[in-house]
Amino acid sequence: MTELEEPKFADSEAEDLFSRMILAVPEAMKNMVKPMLLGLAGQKAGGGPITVEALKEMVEGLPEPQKSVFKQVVAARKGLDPEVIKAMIEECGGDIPRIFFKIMERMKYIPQEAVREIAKQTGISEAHLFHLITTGKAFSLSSSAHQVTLCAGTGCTVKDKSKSLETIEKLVTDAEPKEVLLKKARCLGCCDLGPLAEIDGKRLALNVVQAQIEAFLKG
Amino acid sequence: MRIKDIKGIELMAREGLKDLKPEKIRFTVGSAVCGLSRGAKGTLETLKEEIAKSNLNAEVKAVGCNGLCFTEPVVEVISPGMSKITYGSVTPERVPELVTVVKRGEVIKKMALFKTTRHQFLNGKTVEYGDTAGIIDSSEFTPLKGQVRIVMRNAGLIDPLSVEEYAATGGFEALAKILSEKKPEEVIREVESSGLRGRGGAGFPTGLKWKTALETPSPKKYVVANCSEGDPEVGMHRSLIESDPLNVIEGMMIAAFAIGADEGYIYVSDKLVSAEEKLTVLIGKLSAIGLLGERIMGTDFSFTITVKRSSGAYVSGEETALLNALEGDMTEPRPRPPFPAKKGLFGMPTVVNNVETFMNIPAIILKGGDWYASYGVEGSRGTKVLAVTGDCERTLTVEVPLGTKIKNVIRMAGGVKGKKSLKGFQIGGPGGGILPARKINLPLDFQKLGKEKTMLASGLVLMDEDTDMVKMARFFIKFFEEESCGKCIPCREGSHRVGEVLDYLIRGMGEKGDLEYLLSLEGPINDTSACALGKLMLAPVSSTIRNFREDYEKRIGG
Repeated sequence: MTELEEPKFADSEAEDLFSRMILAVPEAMKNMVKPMLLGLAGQKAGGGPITVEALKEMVEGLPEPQKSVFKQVVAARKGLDPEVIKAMIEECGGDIPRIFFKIMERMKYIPQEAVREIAKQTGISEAHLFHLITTGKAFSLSSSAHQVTLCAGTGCTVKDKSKSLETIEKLVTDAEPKEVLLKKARCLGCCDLGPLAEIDGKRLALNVVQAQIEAFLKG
Repeated sequence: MRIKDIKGIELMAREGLKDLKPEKIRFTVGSAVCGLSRGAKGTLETLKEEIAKSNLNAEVKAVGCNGLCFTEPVVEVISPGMSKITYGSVTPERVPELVTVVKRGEVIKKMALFKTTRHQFLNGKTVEYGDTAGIIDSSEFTPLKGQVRIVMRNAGLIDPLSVEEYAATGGFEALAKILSEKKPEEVIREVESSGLRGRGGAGFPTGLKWKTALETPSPKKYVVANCSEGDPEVGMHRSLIESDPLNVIEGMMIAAFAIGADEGYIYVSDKLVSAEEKLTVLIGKLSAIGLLGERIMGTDFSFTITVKRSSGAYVSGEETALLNALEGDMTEPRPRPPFPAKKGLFGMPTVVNNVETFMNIPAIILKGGDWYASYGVEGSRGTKVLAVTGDCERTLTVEVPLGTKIKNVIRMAGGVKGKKSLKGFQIGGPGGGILPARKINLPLDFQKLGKEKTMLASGLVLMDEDTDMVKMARFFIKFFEEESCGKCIPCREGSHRVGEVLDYLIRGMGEKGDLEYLLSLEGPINDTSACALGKLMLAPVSSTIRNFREDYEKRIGG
């Protein structure tokens, strides 16, 4: 079984898909499941480097409920298939920010492979695309289980006498691993109720948000 | 049906008037983002259910935001023969009572905010409602007292998605007027005589900008509406464009006619998904009736509009960065000159105006520049919309004539919350200075505020006695650290260095000379940054050092 300690992937896409499958496995079972899956995938690849196709085939052969869990992971990756991206580029008429908005809608973040694929298909440099993503607050390159958006406007900062905004920000930025992705909105549009925060799109009072984040971080 | 001339618009207006002064009862629910986050959706649905249950002959419409954020959801009721009554804080639980009382032809006096007996529109036409006794008139309602509504004239009154209702308030008459009888030069002269200055912050004379674009020969020109509001305090443009989007579109069309453009863009910030949807629907509707597209109203004037969503960077509100973003390029400012009016989008002459600026235009054309200039003071004509927030009793959006004293605006907002005293206030967005409470007698005036090193942007934030100004300064610098696009080193790196010094001060580790050091950075950063974001970066720091020095000095050891 020595060869399994250095798994060979055909490309970074396959490697990424595999690591995202592992992410879907409960923490306690990871050490046990990982070599098992690698072994199966290796078999499907016929001893050669593991491809995306081999991984997909392996998932099909698994028993339930693992099969559907991993199928979801594979399906999420579908947002990035070259044909899907091609269709998106055509639909948006080459309007890059709109493509990013579409990917955000679908996946809640923009996977790096998608950016590379867009670069490949449009001929726009990757550096330029990454610049567009990293300067826009609307986009995110990292996926996380939960997204928190804080009311971080002047009015709300002034009103926040108990400094809950600061506390929440510190809570999230200090936390490892990054279960929660923090975003700052300049105005959520309800200044009289503010400061508020959004957790996964739901608007809540700050003390509720803080308690929820603490619960997330404890796991 | 295609609109061919002013008659077509009048026909539409007649349809719309049936909605604004209906035969049956009409309920309107303020359903902009501010209303929705206070539960307007529930109110709207409950209203529909209750009306159906009680067999009331009534209609319910979702309208925009009338600026009274503190008392959302706002419901207005028009019953034949009675005044229009505005109710505040109408939560779903209170709907059944309201419907019962309205059915009886009565008013819940303790819930009613004020009544309206008539509306006068831009074209001089009026809608008269009855007079119901025992309720104060809208002109006596403190938060509205002293307001003059030109930009917000339709906010909360009309259904933002109804072209007919917009036409009923005099909408598209300005467009019909210029298309049938005016030359581009005459339109620009009218705008110049109104004294209108850009409402985005810099206050550049709008007429002059248009004239430059008109006089620059080019095969193609563009008009761009900037609704990429990123100021960290307010959603004022959101409220405007959600409540009366057609006013923005008409303003843009007039600008396009004046400079000879045939293509326009509306650039909305990333959070404005609902505004983007509304605009897209309206552009479709207008194209269908021939008010957008080729040969509008049978003239040679053609115009199309595209809505684009910003990626959410603060700098994308800067006009040259905005143009870059529209071209799909990096959201970074361009060097100026050339100014966009000469060389803008795709290298063509482009007029970039704020949405609020555009919303003033139809009124100016219809009622004349002199009428507009009768509001305001020398050098600052017309009205200004301000979102008042922070430590105030009532959060609201007001529109007041320029020249109004800041203390009067504070009075509309009910003063400082919790009977505390005012320490300072900020009026120019993050790049404006924080002024001390003693300056509340300042008028809203471009020059006078400029002298105080602040500007006239979209918000007024009140700060009470408990506010720590060093921490406020740190908050703004952090904002700039996060929002600097990174093109100019003084802004990108300077923000971090200033932030470090402030951090030391906050931890009580300040040293003598720190304040002088911070002040000495203002000149160089201002001189060496390409856009206003960098140039104004130190304003919150230098203004707090000047005006609230004691907050800093108590942190500096001997």
